[in-house]
Amino acid sequence: MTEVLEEVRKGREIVSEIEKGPWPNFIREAKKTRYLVDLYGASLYLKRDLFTTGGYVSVPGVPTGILMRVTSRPDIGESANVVRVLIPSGNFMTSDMMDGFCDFADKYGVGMLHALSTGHNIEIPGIPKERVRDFAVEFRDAGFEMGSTGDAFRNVTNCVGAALCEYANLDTMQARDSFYDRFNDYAKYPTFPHKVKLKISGCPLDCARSTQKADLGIVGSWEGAPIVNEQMIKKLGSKKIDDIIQSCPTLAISASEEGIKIKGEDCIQCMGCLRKGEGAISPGKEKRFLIYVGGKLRGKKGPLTGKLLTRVNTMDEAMNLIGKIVEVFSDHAARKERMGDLIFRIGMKGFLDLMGMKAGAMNVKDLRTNIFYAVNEEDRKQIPERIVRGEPQ
Amino acid sequence: MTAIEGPPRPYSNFIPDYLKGSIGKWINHTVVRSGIIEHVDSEGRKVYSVKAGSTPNGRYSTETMRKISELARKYAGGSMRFTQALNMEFITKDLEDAQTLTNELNALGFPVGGWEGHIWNMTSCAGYFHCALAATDAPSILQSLANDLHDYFDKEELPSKLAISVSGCPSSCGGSFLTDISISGIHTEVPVVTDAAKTCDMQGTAFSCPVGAIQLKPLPDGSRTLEIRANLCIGCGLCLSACAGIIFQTPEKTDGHAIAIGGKASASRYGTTLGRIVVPFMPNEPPHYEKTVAVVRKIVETWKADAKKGERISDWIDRIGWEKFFMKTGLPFFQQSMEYLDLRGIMTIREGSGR
Ligand code: SF4
Ligand code: SF4
Ligand code: SF4
Ligand code: SF4
Repeated sequence: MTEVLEEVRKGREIVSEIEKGPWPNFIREAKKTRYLVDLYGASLYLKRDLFTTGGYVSVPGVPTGILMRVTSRPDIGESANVVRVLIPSGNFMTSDMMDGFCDFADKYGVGMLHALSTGHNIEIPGIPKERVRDFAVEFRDAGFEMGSTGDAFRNVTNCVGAALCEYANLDTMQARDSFYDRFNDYAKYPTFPHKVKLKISGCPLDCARSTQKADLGIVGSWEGAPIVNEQMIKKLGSKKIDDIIQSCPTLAISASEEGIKIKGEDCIQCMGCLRKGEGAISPGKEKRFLIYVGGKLRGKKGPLTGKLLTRVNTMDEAMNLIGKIVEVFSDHAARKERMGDLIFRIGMKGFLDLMGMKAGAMNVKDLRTNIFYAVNEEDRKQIPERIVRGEPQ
Repeated sequence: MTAIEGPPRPYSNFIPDYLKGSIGKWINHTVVRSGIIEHVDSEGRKVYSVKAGSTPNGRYSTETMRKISELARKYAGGSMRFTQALNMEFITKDLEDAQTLTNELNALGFPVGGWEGHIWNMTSCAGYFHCALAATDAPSILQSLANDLHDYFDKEELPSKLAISVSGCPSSCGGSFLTDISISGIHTEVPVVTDAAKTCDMQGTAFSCPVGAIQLKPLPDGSRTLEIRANLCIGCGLCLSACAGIIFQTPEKTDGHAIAIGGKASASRYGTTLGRIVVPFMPNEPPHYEKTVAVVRKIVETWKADAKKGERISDWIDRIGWEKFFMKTGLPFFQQSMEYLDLRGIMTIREGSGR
């Protein structure tokens, strides 16, 4: 018997400690598979990551979806590939589909599934390089598809929306489906300067985090007052009605004969009253779709939150705008520059200019405090004129 | 190959049949018990969501996955989903199925919970488990936190929603900075350029550096190599993913993790907030990371005792201010929590950090 390396032996001790405890445990899971637990244990003992960068795998006809995982200690664990699988909208999977993924993980991988990755893909780890090609052929024959790697549209994610949530202003799952009907080429072939993530939320509560982790976000909203169901609101009683009135940050809600009255022009769609309304208050009829740009965590300028670009009235307009934005991004971003970094570099005003759009109050968190600014002759003339005319934008 | 284009769709093929008639008609939801939610549509139809916690980094054996898939077949219309927060969600057509399913999930070791004033989710990135860039092992840290705090997922109440995430490095794949409590691995040394860097895309590598610390240096033989200006480097590690020839030399001594609090997502007027760093460095101490767990526990308990109902951690801090936060938690304030921005608004190194 060969002697067990010190770092492997010590690593196993650490791993058997991590295996304990009440919460669902990834080590207990990993030990039921052929995953490289010894390599992982050794990295914990050595306090250094034993996977290393580099390595590239190319499978003809599979432009995206396969990643390489290279180990710096092949004596403890071998390098292999990970396949990233695209799953249906809303991360719904049928039992048959899950069993299918398991079959592939058993046959080609190490008997482990990553469900889900933080980008909301299923990943099948541990596929040896020489078997990736066979895997891809068989996988596609079974009706599955891989993707979401490289400088393309990464997996588009969405909140559950109209399928299960009363706050939804749109069928987010349908929206993702039609995104792929239209833009699949941009998702399949890596042609952008850097990756682009799009997330779709059904309402301003933004469960999909389109304003945080996404280069592009679409958020369903409305204009004017939320809809009040008079019968239901009265049943809530005066204490709860009072609560609802108090919950409105803009004082848009007042008590009335019918229960409550909401002043539409004062509503900022904060969702406060809907959350307190126990079903009696629902989103308004006049739908709006908020387009956010430039959120991301990684990249040159550190984490940035998405900024509101504009509001449009239909999902069609929203999709057209997405197409336009990625064109501008492709034309103007430097190589490996994320959308947020581009906007950081040229400013929101610069980005709006490239889009052929005018900045409005919705585009700013706050106004400029630095008074020094090149107000030119044209401005000196038109600013007072517009004030006199009472021209809003 | 029979090429299919993009993900499987339309989605209606993959959801339980009894959901189809209610899409777009939901009017309300109520919490039956922690982790079971009743949804009602305008015609009085009801379904029940059952939400279960998942493993820290979402890794499952196929053995377990097949059991989960079987539960979905038996109780949830042959389908299940993962939520935004990466919990498992099953949708049943009656409460009895929801309750039986809950028992079966519990028997498999999966707690059912995570709604309203509870921990919603705890997620980590791959860390040492599968990624080349980790400065800390995210899944084992999260496992330690989850083992310590799990009662808040399905039993004990909190003032409001709480989400926790751990990422192995500042790339934050695990979602650090987005959650109420987030831990993120950090490197604190300057990487070195090895001979292997000669085969890298040098321009691309230089460009990958956010602070312009990487220069191309001509060598006497006419070839070129890369040079890192130590006084500029912030140790972000981005150059490592651009060039395999750049490495950190002694991560076992210098790698660690930072703790940030107060992140949350919202497109409403209050907007999205990112986590703010309260503890700039903790050492990597597997298997149980006792010190890190103690800090997180302290923050959670103080927030629980002091916050008004409905206040997320960021709302609570907005109300009481940072001075009171440090006073109430007893955590020391660190000089390194101050921001160091240069004129372009880019994070720079702290003066006197010895670089
Ligand atoms: S973002 Fe809004 S519509 Fe979507 S799941 Fe969350 S609350 Fe529901
Ligand atoms: S959504 Fe918000 S702003 Fe609009 S009426 Fe309700 S509480 Fe007021
Ligand atoms: S956060 Fe860092 S360590 Fe974690 S998966 Fe992303 S790149 Fe890897
Ligand atoms: S670690 Fe970051 S800051 Fe330092 S040289 Fe590499 S890319 Fe530049």
